[in-house]
Amino acid sequence: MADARTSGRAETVFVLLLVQASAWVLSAISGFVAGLAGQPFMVLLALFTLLLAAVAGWLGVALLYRVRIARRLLIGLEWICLVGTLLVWLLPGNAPGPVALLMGLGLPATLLWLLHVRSGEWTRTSSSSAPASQAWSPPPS
Amino acid sequence: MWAIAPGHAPALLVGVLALAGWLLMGRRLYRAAPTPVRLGTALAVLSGGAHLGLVGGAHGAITNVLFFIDGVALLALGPLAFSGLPWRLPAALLLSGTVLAYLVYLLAGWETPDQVGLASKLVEIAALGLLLVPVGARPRLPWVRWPAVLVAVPMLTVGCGLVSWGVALARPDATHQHLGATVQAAARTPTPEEKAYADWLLAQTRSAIAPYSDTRLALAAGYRPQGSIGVVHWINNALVKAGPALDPSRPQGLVYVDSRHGPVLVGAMFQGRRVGDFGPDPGGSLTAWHEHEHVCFSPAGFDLESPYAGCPVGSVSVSVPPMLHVWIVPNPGGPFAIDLDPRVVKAIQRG
Repeated sequence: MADARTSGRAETVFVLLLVQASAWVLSAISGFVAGLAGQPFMVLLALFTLLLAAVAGWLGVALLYRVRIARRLLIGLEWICLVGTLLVWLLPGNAPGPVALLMGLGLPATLLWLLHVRSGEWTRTSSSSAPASQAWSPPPS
Repeated sequence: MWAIAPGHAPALLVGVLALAGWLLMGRRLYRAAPTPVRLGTALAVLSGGAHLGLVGGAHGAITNVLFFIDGVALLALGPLAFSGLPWRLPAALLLSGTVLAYLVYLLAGWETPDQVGLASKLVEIAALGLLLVPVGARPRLPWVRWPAVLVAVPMLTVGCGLVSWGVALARPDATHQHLGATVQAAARTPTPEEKAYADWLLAQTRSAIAPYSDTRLALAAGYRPQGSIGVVHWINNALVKAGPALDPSRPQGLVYVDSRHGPVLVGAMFQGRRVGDFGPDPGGSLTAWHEHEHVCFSPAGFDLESPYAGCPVGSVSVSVPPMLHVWIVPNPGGPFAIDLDPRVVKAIQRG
């Protein structure tokens, strides 16, 4: 599935996106429950959240197949997540705990750090870079 | 669920120290490795340190021993991954076993969900995915590892969140009347004086706010509608800034229910300035203030923040200052209940 000459950055992004998308599914469930409890419009927000989770997963797969636009879209998505979270934390009374710091700051920041590295491996026809894993022999397992 | 359990805070520090130690001392080992292995081992070491930081806490001897074994094993994953010995299967079993054991502990009631537990599980789930994901030209067993990643990571992430949520709902701590509302601490059995005060507060508030049945008078007095459709709070910001006081003639908020014939006044609300700013409570448990934590608000309504601190798209997480409602319409939960009963709201809306 991956380019032969890869440092595994795309796979790393994919796994982290899987965690992020799964967490969004949980937020969507919360919205559906609110809808069942008599707030029908929350179902719409829940559906949007599910859609976002699906889009994130799809972009992760696209990244594995080295679709160039996927990286740019993901960078945009993660910047929106990061800035949005920081703005919400500015609201009075919002003191983020370890989980919020991990999911709202740590995860998007790590994804952006991985995605912002300019490398030939993001494209299908990579030939310019010499990623680290070429020299690394995977341990036998 | 939103707090750090007593004795768990040092675990975070030990975890970060273990990670820093690994990043410094293991550099020669992991430098040439692919990114998933580097990040996955770093996360395993972070979790291992956190587990060791929990050893010696008030968990009981068996759990302390398990924390120690788990912590050492997770720390050992770092060097083991670069030793040439078989490591991937043991790593996967250890990480998934650690997450599943946490869920068993939660379901059995041996542990309550807290921020350190949830954060470390997220770290372990990410580490599991990163250490399983196939990388390179000829990865071993990609037909097993890809499905394992695609099944284990979402299942464990969602499962861990749902179990934590369910346990927090089913077994809320003493200060949570329902998830999202923290009630001011007060003695459970009210004294005759507290009962007399509560009766006085209800009667005085009822007569003091009666004129505001006419919303024009409420507007003239500085109250402005805020929030969603249905049950609407009208807030007087000048009175909010003045601080929490139980003056029946000057409540910080008025509560209306939108009916076919316009807004119907159903109660008053006394409110603090900021989170934790509880007002006076001469009525004891009868008139205990409450504050709403980690609630997702949007124009479409509100719901509870997920255990991973997430809200549906379009809503934002807020924690609002302490408040005390005084309901002047009959309410099954009582005149000072946190919420107005939905059946009462529907009856007014229809009427």
